[in-house]
Amino acid sequence: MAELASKTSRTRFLTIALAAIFLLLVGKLIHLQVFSFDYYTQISEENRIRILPKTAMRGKIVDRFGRLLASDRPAYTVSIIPSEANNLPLLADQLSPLLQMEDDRIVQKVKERRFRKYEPIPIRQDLAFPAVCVIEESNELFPGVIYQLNHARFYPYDNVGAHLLGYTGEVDEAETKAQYRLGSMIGRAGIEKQYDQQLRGLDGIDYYEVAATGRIIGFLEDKPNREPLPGDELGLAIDLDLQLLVDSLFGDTLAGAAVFMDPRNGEILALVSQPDYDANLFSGFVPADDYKRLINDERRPLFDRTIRGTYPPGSTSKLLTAGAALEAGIITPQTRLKPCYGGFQFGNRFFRCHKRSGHGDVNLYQAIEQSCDTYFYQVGLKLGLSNFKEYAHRCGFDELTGIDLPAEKAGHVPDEAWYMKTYGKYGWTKAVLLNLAIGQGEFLTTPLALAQFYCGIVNDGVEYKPHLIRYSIPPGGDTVWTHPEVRRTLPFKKETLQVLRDAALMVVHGTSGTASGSKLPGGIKMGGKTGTAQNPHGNEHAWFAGYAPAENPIIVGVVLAELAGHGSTAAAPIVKKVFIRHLQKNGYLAPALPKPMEDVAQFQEPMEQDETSIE
Amino acid sequence: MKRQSSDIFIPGGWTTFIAAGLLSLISIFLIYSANHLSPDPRLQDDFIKQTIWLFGGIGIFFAVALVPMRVHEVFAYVYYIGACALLLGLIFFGSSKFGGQRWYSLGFFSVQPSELAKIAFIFTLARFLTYYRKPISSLRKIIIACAICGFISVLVLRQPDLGSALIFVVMFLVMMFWAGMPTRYLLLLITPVISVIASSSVYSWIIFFVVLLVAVLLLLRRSMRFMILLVAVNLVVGALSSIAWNQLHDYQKMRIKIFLDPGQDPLGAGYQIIQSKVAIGSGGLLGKGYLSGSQNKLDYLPLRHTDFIFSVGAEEFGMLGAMIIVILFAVLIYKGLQSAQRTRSDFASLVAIGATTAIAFQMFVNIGMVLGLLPVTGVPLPFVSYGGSSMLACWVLAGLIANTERNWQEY
Repeated sequence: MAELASKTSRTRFLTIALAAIFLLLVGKLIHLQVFSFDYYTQISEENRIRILPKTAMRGKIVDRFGRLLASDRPAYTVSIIPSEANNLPLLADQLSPLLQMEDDRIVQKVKERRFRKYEPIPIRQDLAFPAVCVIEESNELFPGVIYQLNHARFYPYDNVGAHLLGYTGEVDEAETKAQYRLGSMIGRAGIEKQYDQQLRGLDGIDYYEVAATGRIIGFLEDKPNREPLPGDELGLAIDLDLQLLVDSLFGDTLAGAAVFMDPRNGEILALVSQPDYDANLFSGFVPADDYKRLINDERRPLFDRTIRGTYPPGSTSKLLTAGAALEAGIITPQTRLKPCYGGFQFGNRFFRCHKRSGHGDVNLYQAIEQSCDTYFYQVGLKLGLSNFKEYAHRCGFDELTGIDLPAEKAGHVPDEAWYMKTYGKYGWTKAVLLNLAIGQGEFLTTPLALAQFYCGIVNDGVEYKPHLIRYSIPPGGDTVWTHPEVRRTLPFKKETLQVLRDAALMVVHGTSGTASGSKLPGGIKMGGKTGTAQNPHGNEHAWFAGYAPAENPIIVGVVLAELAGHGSTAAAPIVKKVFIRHLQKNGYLAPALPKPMEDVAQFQEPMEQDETSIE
Repeated sequence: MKRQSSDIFIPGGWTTFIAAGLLSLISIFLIYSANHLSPDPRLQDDFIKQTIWLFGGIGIFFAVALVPMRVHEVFAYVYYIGACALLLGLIFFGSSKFGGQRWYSLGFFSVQPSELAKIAFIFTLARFLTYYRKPISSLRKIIIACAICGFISVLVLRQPDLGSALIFVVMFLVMMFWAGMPTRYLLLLITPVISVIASSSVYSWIIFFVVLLVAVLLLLRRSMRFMILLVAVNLVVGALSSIAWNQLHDYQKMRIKIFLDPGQDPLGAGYQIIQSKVAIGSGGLLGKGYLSGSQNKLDYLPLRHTDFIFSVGAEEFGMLGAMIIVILFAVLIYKGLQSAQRTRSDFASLVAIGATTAIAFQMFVNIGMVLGLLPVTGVPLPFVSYGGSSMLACWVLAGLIANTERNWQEY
């Protein structure tokens, strides 16, 4: 290494570089300690730097026609500055009735963040105006208490889409990081949680210099203020009209879930879980009683049945059983098995068909049309457990659909290992297959996963990832569109899919189809399948999964009505009415004559004021 | 080889020892001042722990100063593999503290492997540059050296520790420079990075580019081809990154800025910088007196026994105290540079320059941060910030400088 021999010039270079570094440091030291000495001494003597965050506007959420679903409204936040609150217990005691909070809670909130003495600690979000006036008028009674005009989340349609929109809440201590300071709001569920990063924007900052008395002297010299940046606007694929219609069709008493989506791209047009709750309850300040009531409600209004509720799919899954059997080469569409005399004898047990008088001698089309259990018992036995598991798995029934919502739950498809583990080696027999084949027993799916499966059937086997967001608009930026994403391809050949669609068409349009009461007007054909899921805890759950127009579907709908009985009477009519509305809006059907719609009319008023945002 | 290297009483190395020792003593006094009013009794005892580390550090100093360099020359690659294994192990077994996995918890003591990695890296690069028989300007040698540095700094960055990872890069550049890498190669490595940073605004980039052009015209007139290459690379990198930068929305830019410099986040580290500047500025010429710093006592200074220890000193002892600390560092660094120049052994020379760089860079980054000149990174002030790993590692570095100083006649 001959280069090292002459080190003089390199030493000189490094010496100069180091000297420059030391000069820089010493220069800055002189600047701070000599020239700015008075300025900093003054600050340190009455060290009162008040840092007031300016909350960024959270992005608004609109439906596919630009109608407002969530936005910010003005609200007052009351904060305490610990350094100025000399007698905290007394202050808390005085504030307690005004803020409707227990004084312990107030003291605790201040103590959590005590080490930042000059920063206001948000105590109470969304305080009513009269209480704010009291604080303003008698501020000498409340030393160190300030209030700021802030935002609270506002959902103009209250309950509508509560599960999919979610709600916001105050961050807790564990979450406070760079972007989430104490008192700022964070998405806690639904879209609000999933897209929190995009919606939240970036908070602004004001630096004040404050005198010992608490009087604001002015802005701090060496730190410029920062303006808040609002969050992105999110455009949902949801059609508010359909969402409202489904809500009204479910009414006040019916519980269940409804999923309507566009099979051509996976856009969710309506997503309803009933019963629901008023998302406004959570924005700002949640009174403890209301929260408890929601949590303890037996009907579980907070539970999102569309993506977290798992139910046996009932006969709606016969298309899966049929498709698997056709692909596995066990049957052909024309195969006739033992005729149905109201049931099927397996070992020493008689498995009933839902029609006691029996369906007689049927082929696959008729078996689906009339939902003959006997036929499918036999198909299931021939198919076998491992085949069933494989096809159900490849159709995605035990996987997440990938929807852009947090906390989605996957369905469940049992296999031999699962039965062994759960019931022991001798605890189960092949009889479980009979149940699985007609969608009962341990086979569970979410309404959304079932809708995705039907999208695949009508879309030549291609399943798109279901998604709610169509576009987002960053502040001052260009619209970013969501591109549909293929989630999976069904393991069915084109001919198999055609057989399934032909059979589903007969369910609605055949002479003895189980959903023949739900034909669409105007000669538009619709395919679908009814289902009735046994429920060990009570009445049966009603299912219907359908699509229209049958030749080239633009909408797939799945409705689950809990404890409502048979799918053809409880679920199919809901799907039918929503289809009619959607087809009317898309020019397939003439619009209905304007007639008063009791339930829906009242919701339409607020829509008008937002029409400016439609293009 | 006339001298017995086991003889403690030979001249040389004492200046280094005294400078490092004084810095460590100052550290103990400042840590006591920083934490004596803390409500947490464990923090109150930190100055005692630091004293224990100091004794450990002095022991290590003599051990390192007396063990012949040849030993390290032989085991250099073993150190490197060991350090990398420890860093990899962190990913699986490390305990996370302050949001990053930087520590091994041994119950009574947390080991920070990135400190060990620094030392292992110095030995390894020195050994490689000394033994690999190709000229330093050969592309293969540079690429392998880059890989040695890149691998270990990515492991450190993985923890994530941006500040420590930067130290590796700077040590690498200085050692390569010291080993004789042509200045133009260094320019080719460094300027694109500056170009990317400068491209965040048109003005700063134009200034950068003008300076670059002038420098290139003055320094590199002889090789026209290289001049064009350098300018072209900077143009392309600057243009691409400014295009990419302008694609971002304001809030995204802000988030990146906050990531690179948390001081820009006024609700987080920005607040710390304000308070640190208030502490230093209000210290004045002679300070507010020991244990009388109001910023310190009233809890305004964050992390004041670790990252912001310099502010405590500058508040309580003023310009005088701050200058003493800076001058002690200057002495230490001067000794390091001098011994690196003087020694006859290429390996020892490179080790000494690496050790000096490690101390100098950490000092610059830390003091620059508390003065509000540089971004906020979690780099401690050598010898002075509280912390066992850092203290011991710094004494090893001082020991290496002293060793080179003592044995300058050896090859």
